[in-house]
Amino acid sequence: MKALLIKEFRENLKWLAVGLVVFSFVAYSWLPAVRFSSPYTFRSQIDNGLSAVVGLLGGLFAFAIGVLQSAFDLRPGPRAYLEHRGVKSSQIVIAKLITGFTVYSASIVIPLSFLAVYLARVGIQSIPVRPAQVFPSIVAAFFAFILHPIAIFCLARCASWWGTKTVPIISAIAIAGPSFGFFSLLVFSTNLWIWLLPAYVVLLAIVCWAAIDGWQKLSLNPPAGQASPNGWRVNGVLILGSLVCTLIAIQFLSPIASSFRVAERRDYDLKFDLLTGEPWAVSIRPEDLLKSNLTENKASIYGCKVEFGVEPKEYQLLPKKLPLQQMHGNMAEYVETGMFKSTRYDQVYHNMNPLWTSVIDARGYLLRYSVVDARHPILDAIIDRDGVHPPKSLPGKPFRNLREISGSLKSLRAFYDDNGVYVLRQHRSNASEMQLYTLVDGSVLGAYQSDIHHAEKNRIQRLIVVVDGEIREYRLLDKDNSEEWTHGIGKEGDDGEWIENRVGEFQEIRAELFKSIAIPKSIIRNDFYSLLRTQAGYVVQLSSFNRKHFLLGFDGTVTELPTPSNFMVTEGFGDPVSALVPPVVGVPALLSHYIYRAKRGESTELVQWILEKKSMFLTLAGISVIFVGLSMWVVNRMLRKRGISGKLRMAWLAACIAFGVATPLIVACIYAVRVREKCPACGKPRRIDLAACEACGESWPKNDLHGIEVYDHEKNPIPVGV
Amino acid sequence: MNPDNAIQTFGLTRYFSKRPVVQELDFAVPRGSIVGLLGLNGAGKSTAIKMMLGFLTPTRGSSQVLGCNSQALKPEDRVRIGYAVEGHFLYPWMRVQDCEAFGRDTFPRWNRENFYSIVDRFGIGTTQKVSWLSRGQRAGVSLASTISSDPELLVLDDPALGLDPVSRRALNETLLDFNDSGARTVLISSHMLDDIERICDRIAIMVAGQVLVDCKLDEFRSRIAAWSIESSTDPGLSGQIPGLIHSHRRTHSWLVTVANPNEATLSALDQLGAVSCESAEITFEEAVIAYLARSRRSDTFLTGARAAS
Amino acid sequence: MQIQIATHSATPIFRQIVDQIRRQVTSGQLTMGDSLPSVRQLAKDLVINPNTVAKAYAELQRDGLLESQQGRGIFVAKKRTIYTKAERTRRLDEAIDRFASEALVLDFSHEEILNRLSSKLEQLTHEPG
Repeated sequence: MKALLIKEFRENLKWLAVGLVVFSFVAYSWLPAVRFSSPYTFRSQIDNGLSAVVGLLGGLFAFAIGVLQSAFDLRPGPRAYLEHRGVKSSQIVIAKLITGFTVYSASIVIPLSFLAVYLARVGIQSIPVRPAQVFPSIVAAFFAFILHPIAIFCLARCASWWGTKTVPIISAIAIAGPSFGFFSLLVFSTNLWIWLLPAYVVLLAIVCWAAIDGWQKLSLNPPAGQASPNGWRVNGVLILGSLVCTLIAIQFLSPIASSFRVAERRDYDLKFDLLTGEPWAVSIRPEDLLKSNLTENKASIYGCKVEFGVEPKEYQLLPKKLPLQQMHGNMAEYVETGMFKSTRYDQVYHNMNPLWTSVIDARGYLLRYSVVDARHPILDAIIDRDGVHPPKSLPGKPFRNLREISGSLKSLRAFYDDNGVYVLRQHRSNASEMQLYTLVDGSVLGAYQSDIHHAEKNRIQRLIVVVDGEIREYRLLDKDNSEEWTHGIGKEGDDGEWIENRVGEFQEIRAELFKSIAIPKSIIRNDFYSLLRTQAGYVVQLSSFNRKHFLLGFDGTVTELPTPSNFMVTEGFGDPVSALVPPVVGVPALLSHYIYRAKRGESTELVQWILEKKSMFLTLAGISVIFVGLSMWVVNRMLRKRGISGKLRMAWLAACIAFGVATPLIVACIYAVRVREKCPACGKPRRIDLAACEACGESWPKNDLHGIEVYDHEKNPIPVGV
Repeated sequence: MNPDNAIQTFGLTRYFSKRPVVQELDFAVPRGSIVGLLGLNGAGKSTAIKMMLGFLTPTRGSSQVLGCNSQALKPEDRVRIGYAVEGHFLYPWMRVQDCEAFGRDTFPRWNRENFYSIVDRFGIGTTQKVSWLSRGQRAGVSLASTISSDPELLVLDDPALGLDPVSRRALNETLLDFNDSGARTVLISSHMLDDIERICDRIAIMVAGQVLVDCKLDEFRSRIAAWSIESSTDPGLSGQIPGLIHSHRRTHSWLVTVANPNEATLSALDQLGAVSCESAEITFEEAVIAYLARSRRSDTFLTGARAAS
Repeated sequence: MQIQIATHSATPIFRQIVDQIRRQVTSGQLTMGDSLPSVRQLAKDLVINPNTVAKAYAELQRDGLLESQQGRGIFVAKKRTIYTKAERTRRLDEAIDRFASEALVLDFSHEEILNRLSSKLEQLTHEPG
């Protein structure tokens, strides 16, 4: 093993130089982006952008090393020289994997470490970057490393181009890419990533294991009659790969299939009646917008009331006086990078190029930058629970889970964390002067601002805070105990002049509990995706994934609001192409979908749920059966060409039920086509890899005798030595 | 499996796509012998050897090496077999002493002295880099690396290719040393007929994927005869001579090589009606070449010979 | 003892060894009791397969030219007749065939050939050894 490692390092250390050059260049090319990035664009710079580039180049690099390591040793001479020894092929591959991983990780981690050191030196003083932001890139590189064992796997022995090579490559890319995407989505927001990373490590281990096995066993012409000619590990990877490739193909088919749909789907917004809380589907046609000079107020608005069991077929022209209000999502407003969250303020005023901007640091600080020179922002203040601090060092009382309240409380910037709701108020004439007020003290799960329908042009804003098991509504009062200041930004006077609502400099604002209602146990959760106050109660959406809305009445009732069924979002299972999804994937997906729904309390019984969507399921089942039958027919033909018969053939035909349309691909990957030749005895085509003819049972004739054979053993054919 | 055989194949056959390269090979290497495997390039020698050592899967048939199935050789079986592949591959970045160290680490038994004595026989310094060595010297290091693991069986695929006379002599000496008067077995494929004549006690000739000759070298010589025939036409084309291997045109006559001559051969020669027909001396080389040249002839000739049999 | 092997020859290698040792025994270069190299030794010196040497030695032993003494090696044997009368005649005829055809080609008269032959025989039989 030592000798093998020395050999691999001696031969492949040179790729370290190549890797260092490539990834140093990548790291270096990011320096200007870091140096000149402004707080508006920071989020696309280090984390996402760099990790995408590193992931992509890393995958290519890992694949290249794998190919180079294998290809040289698979030429006939080197292969015999290396393998014809007292070493196991597993040791050879393990040495290759260790070497490959060392070279790979060194050539990525070293340049990125230098980048991290640079970021640490630059600090957050002038840009919101932290050295830890290179970490996602390293994780991306780790995910991309799976292409290294895949390369070894694909080159093993006589892997066939189209089957055993293409399928694993495509599936590895398909798995590594989205898993990293998913990983980066989850990495800092939930604890799920702790599970995802080990799952990925297991996947990597399986692929490495299969690569080890494949190096030894994968061959184009396996001996006849063997149930699993490649070994089950290799076959396992091939089956998995084929399934993934089939799913990708289905994914590609899906838009083509959906383009055949006849029904037109109108995009619309879901709005709620501020008096009753009833949902309305409201649509503004683009052509109407054009007609009315692109302002919503003057456009004709079409829509309809959403009711249970009624699919809106046609939209009616709505009267303009209908008090409809759209809900604002909460979390979706943020762009998170794991390290920093941009605040809503920056989003909204991005194009207005404000002189100050702020970001939420994942460690619990609000960083405020002065962007007088947009290319060189300067850290202006660090805000923690105690108030505003100069940008020297990080103060001691960070917020916990600081979030900004979506929608603005007039010109105030309101935030909340686990311990309260805060307002950041800056001096009207001197914006560098700031004060932090605590509006609500105590444990807070979520905070929302909501308009209260008052009169058509005067809406009062209230603060609605979700605490454990309760929704509390606060009135926001100024020192005159008046809510009036929260009327919209201003109003149009009688003479058409704009009258702005003013609020005094550093005016003290109080939050006074107005009312509170208990949240029913059935829909209790940490916080709601969005919340809207109506005269009838609070309309809440549970999460961004769950589109159901509930009305929590002030009288303590809970009403589920109808959801329009032909929402623009296409439901995965409704697509006819989804019938092609191999049942072994589709059925668990369906079940987990059901369990997910059941946990949300949305569906009581599986059978009932299926019956609800009877026509859809019947169509899907019908298409599925047709395609399983078709796959069986194809697989049967393929198996005959590959000389598989008897129980094994039956097993594969049965497997069509589980693997569906993926089965032909699996069979094509695992078994090679058998060449046939005319039987000298009976004239029918017979397999050249079998001793006996399938038709007449005759064995192959010994070679044509030319009358010139010279053997010193009595009996041709088998010599028995001297 | 006969325990007296170091290698034995049973109907070993390999197709490359639809083309048979080795057909129904029934061939044995008796323990203790030096067997020369002869044949033109592309006759299937290397393919057969690769299958025997489990580096290629046979399309059908099987083979055994030292009593083990060739397709399931474990490392502990492999170390009992020395195998030098065509072209004497070595890692170009190694020095000669590194090759020795690499062998020492990867073989359970290792004879260091033997390595250096063989390397010395080929006149190679131990600090020389492999990439600087001549072909003959590389053959020496390769041979030393193979033999020093103390195998029971040595399989060499065309080791003499491109070697100078001195290296060839060193190769022959090393092989005879290894064979140690019949203690260990050697299978060698080669185009160097005089080397084969010197060191082998058995030969096998492969023609177009089939073994046509497999016997002791002396027996081979005694069972091939030749006649010099003066005739205007090629006597081979008559299709009348049983056991005709090849007829070769000389200035005024045809040299006709025949296997297993007997009375029938003589009477067939008489009936040719040639101007003259006299028995000719034939060297080992000519006898082998007669077999090899045969595969280069057109089909009509072969059909003629087949009809005669 | 000097033996040369030619590979591109119509004569098999073992036959070349037999012939050369036989010639050396008849010409007196090797005399009774002279020891010969062992099979291994000779095979090594000539770089040929030891079985070939063994075969040659076996034939010479059968012909009575050599004898193997257990544990001591191979020696030139005391001359003795081991062939039948008929076999001896056949071998003599073979030798005469070769000799006569070559001699006649050289264009000598019968007397001249016979004279030279008898003087040669005289010389060989009367020399000591």
